[in-house]
Amino acid sequence: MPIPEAACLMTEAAETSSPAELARLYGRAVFESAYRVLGDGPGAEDVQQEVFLRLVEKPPREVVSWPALLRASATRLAIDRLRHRRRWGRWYALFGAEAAPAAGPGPDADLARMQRAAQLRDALSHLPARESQVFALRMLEGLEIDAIAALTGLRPNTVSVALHRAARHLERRLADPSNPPETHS
Amino acid sequence: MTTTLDPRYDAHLAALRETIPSAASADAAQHRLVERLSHARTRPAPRYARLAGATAAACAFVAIALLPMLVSRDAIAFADVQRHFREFSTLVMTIDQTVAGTPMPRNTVSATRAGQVRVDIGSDLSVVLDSTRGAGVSLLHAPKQAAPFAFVPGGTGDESLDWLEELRSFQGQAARLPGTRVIGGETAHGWALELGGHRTELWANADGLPLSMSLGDGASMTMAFGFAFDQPLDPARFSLDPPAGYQSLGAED
Repeated sequence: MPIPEAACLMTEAAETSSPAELARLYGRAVFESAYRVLGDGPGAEDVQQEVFLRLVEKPPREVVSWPALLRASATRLAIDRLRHRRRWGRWYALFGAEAAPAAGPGPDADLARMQRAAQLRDALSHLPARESQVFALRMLEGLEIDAIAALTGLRPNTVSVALHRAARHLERRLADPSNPPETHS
Repeated sequence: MTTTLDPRYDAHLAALRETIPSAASADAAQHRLVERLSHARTRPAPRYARLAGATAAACAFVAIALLPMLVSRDAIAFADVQRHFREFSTLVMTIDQTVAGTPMPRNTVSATRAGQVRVDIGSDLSVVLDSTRGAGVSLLHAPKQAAPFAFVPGGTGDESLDWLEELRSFQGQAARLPGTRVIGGETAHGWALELGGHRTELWANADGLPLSMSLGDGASMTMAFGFAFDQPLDPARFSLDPPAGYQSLGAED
């Protein structure tokens, strides 16, 4: 579920929440954000743990909205992981190792829906990191441009341009029948 | 400016938005997260940080005196490391990988600036790629078979070296690692950086010549790279013609 915009206006003091408490409050939301991008549980769990372990190691000083920050962090790390899978998938295959657990359809899974998700996921992995992150934060997490700018340190205009480029790149890639989703298992 | 994806792809977007984990997997992940955080501790402060009081002034003096030199040396040295990856004529990488603690056969990747790549996987299989021609050949050494194939230059055929491009253009923060190592008889200095979402350690000699690199989480997968730059390589190793005595299996897609 996208982050409610009101949540981004909430001000919280960083010292009021320990990583453990934040994990209790927002751990599931972080897992869901990563799962949406990656489409598999083990990868999403790795991202979830990394988000909170980074908080332990280096807690941010001023946080406007913990849920927005944490889900944005999860999205960014999941995008990195998605790109990594594509980049290293060929190596993993050469070395006989499995790069990523494949998300197989469940008993009631809608195969067509899963294929569309896989196509968009694959297309996202081919975008430059900034474009794919901005796209995911806007289109998957529902953040407004200003909120994305605040979380990424980019100017709002830069966010808008990256978003526009991402959409056009994705459309071109999705429209090209020679680009079936890659699998790395 | 309001940017949206073309409505033709609404179903794709909806499919991704509606990708939701099962309650059981979310519960299990949450449980393991809480468990892991209960054992997590912040890293101890550097020992020198505890030397407050009487030694503070001396420490401050040393730090101020050394800081400009250390900062500039780090910046130059890592740029030198990147330069080797940008400007090599030939590069030979050995790759030792462990998966779930099990060592895999050593692999050797040889690449030329012209876009020729050869991957030797253990002693059983070699793959030779010519990215300028979009052609490659797989060599199965035991049965002496050669299987040529084609790929799209600039497409998937080149992606195996995308990490190299990421390293070449890396502009993030490469943190200098404490201490030195001796690699191949040379004193090596290390940096930690993130490539492809993974923590990576890169070690280079005093001239910035990369000597080794490692990445991975240390548990499920680790990869250790050794590097040799600008060594003469036998052009025959990059030939797409079947070696003498090898049977050609015919072109594959």
